[in-house]
Amino acid sequence: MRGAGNGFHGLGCHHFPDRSRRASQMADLTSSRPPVHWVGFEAYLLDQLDVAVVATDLGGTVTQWNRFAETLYGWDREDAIGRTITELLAVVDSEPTPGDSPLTQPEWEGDLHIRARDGKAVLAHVRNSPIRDPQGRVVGVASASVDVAERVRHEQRVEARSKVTRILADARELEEAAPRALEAICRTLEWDLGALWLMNRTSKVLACFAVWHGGSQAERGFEAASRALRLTPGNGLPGRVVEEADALWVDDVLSDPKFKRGREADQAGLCTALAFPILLQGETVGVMEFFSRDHRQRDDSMLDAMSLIGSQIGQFIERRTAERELAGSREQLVAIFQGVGEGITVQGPDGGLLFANEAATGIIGYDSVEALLGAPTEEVMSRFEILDEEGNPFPVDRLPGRRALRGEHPPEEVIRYRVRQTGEDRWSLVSAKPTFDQAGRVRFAVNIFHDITRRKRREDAARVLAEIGPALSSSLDYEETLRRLARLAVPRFADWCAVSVQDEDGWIRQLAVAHKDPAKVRLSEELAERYQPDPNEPVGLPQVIRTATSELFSEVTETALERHELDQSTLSAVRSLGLRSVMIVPLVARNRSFGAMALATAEPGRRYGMEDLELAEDLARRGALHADNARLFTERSRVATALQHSLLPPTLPVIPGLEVAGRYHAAGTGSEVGGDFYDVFSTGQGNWALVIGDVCGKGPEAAGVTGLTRYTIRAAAMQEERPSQVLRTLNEALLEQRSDRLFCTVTYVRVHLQDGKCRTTVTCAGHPQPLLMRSGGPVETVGRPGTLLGVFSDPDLWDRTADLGPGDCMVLYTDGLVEGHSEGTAVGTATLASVLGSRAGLSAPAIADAIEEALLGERTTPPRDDVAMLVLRRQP
Amino acid sequence: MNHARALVRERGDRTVVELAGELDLSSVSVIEQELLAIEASSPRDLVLDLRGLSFIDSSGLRLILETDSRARIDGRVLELIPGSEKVHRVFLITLLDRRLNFVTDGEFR
Repeated sequence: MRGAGNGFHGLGCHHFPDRSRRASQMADLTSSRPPVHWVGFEAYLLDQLDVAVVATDLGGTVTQWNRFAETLYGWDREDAIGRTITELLAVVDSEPTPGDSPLTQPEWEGDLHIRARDGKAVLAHVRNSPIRDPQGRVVGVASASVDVAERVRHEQRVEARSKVTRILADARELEEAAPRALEAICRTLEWDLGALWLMNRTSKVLACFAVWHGGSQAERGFEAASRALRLTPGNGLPGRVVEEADALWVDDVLSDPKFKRGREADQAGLCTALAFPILLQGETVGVMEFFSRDHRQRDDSMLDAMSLIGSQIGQFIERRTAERELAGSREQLVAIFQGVGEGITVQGPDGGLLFANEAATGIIGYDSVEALLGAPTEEVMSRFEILDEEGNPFPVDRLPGRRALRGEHPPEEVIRYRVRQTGEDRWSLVSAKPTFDQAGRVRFAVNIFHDITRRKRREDAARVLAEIGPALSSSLDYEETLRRLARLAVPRFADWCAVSVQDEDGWIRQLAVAHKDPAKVRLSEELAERYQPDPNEPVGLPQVIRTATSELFSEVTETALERHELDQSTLSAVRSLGLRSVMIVPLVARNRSFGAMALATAEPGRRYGMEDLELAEDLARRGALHADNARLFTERSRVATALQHSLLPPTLPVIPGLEVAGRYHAAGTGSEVGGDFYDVFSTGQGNWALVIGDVCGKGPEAAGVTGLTRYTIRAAAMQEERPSQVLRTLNEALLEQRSDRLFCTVTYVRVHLQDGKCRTTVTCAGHPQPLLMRSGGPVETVGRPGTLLGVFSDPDLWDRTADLGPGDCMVLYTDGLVEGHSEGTAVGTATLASVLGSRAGLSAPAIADAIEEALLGERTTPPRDDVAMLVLRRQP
Repeated sequence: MNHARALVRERGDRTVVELAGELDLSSVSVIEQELLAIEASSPRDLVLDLRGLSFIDSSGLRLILETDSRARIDGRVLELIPGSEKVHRVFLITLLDRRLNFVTDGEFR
């Protein structure tokens, strides 16, 4: 134990906390020493003790003063002996009344601040024992005292540190901890003002972060001045600490010319300052400074203590910064993990999940991250059937995560997994990466699931839709198209599919039903017959048709059934067929909803989601379009056929002695009214007219011209005998009534039967000349080409006559007959002639059939142009 | 389908439109638009060269009749260079060979 003398100035006016505790500790300390018996002790022995021993008589006069007492109290033995103890040693922290000094009490023990010779107070632990004479009477007092200032200071430092430790441990932020730490240090180590400066790590500028003081006006002024300062290394007290990277002790700041806050310090009465760096791995991150109003001498142990506190605060700053950064980066990471659509999981070495983000939770099919992380691996895995892209079982051992756990760096895999519960197939692009510890062992595997189900479904859907397009369009029959639609939906989109349409009267009729189990088709059909949906029902099928809005019943629960969210017919299907998930999508074409398609999965099939609904709508749209096309086509064909028939004589008249056969083939699919026509009628008195013609163009326009032509000819034929005149009349009518140059070509044959003769008069107006086959003779053309009609006001028309002998045959035809020939019109015409030539002796209908077969039969496609033909034969 | 195409070239003081392919209902409107554009942009006489046509139907015929009619109204000359036998047969049957201004390629030169 060192002697007093380097002790503190000004300690004396402070109180010690918990004095009694310290006193008892001191007692123990001293009692551990050998007992001292005063009588007969050699002064020498006394002088060896590091204990000040002072003996007094009962009057207080010093009788003994050992060497350590000289050191501790500053009085030499010679000076001391003989003087009264109270004269030598004033007790400063008790209420000393002369004669009542603790030092004169025969039995007393405790800590006392005792004024030494130089005026400084010595903190001493004093223990008084009575000096007894051999008779046992008390004759004096032996006072043993030790300097406990150092010990107390040490304890104070320990206490300060432990307080700071507690404060730092309790605090979350430096803002909260710093003022409390400063206060604890000041109060414990007896400083009047403390400040913490922090350095900006980038700019290397120090700023005052926290200050503690007693709260006087002047101190607040000093605090404000401190807070206003920004110090670079080398400037001001804190700056100098940074520059020297070491503690500084300034005995009196007022005499330090480099001290910047001198005025404020002066006003606050501050004198001594201690400043030390807060170091962190050799780098100064801050400075603490403490000021005392008392003048204090440099105290290295104080500096040591402060450096410990400084590093504690440094670590706190470090930890908080790191925690904040970690928290920030963790939050950021969590946010990123949760934000990405990628499923991310972390597996421990045993394959168990340590982490999963929400996307992964969804992909794996759990409701919450907690539920997933809490589930045993086997349970998680048992939910799926793991397949490769093609649908073959995928060995669990080859999963990227498992391979990563074995330390491999597996390639990305497309994994298809079937959720056992729903039967739903999902696809993920799965990649995994191992993370190793320092020993090279796998710590965990990070899995990334990129859900590509939507893409896969789209691809699949696009493929299916591409396939069904042709399948649907290959039928031009409306109902057949819709039946195909139902068949196509099963089993790829549904286990059960019903297509219903609403007729003109509003009744909804189930047109087609398909089920993956053919046995159930019959049941579905029976249900449909039994439950006719009420078109006004505000739910299900009728509602979908009425509003043209799809409905999705992802899970058909009994509750939903009770709430009547489905119409009666769908309801009964659901109940009888055990359907699980239902979608009803409208069939819409040309902005009209004309029906609906209901699709469903049967238990325990998968549940439909929005993606499925979109797909179903797509399917329905296509189906509806094709069906509507088919219906339009059917309607148009019906109209065209009706119109066409109105332009052709329903039956040909019977002409005595003659045979007549007519043939007509509409071009293409027959959905448009063609421009070809023929007519056979009587003009009276054994006169007959055969007309064949071709109106330019197609459709209603052409039909109009055809009608005009046909009836004009009929009317004119009653007035005019000469065919050329009939056709001129027609030409005028066309020119008058049509300004659109919708011309026509006509061949008109007048047949005059008289006296067993059959004379024909032929006029061609832009139309091919008829062919005449003389019985047993060559095939020749009759008539002379004339101008087409409807364009020029002065057509060139000629009447040519030809007599028909028995068996002679004349064929009137339109271009389509010969033009369609694969080798050209000329060959077509030649073929016609040769067929005609070789069929001598056949009846008119038989000849017509033969010509048809020869010229049209070879075709695989419908004729491109209309074909009309009239065969006239004189009976042999 | 071998739809009709029109190739326009200037020869001397005339605009020659060479028609090729099949001139039928499905292609007349395209050719008609081209002809109308040519007529609108040039006051010169017009030659329709039908030698490249492989087929012509009544709609094609109507197109030529209307072009001829416009030419008469506009006071320009429309000349036609006859096409193949098959194509020209249509003009012979309808007697349009007499009504339209057919020239031979030689005459035209």
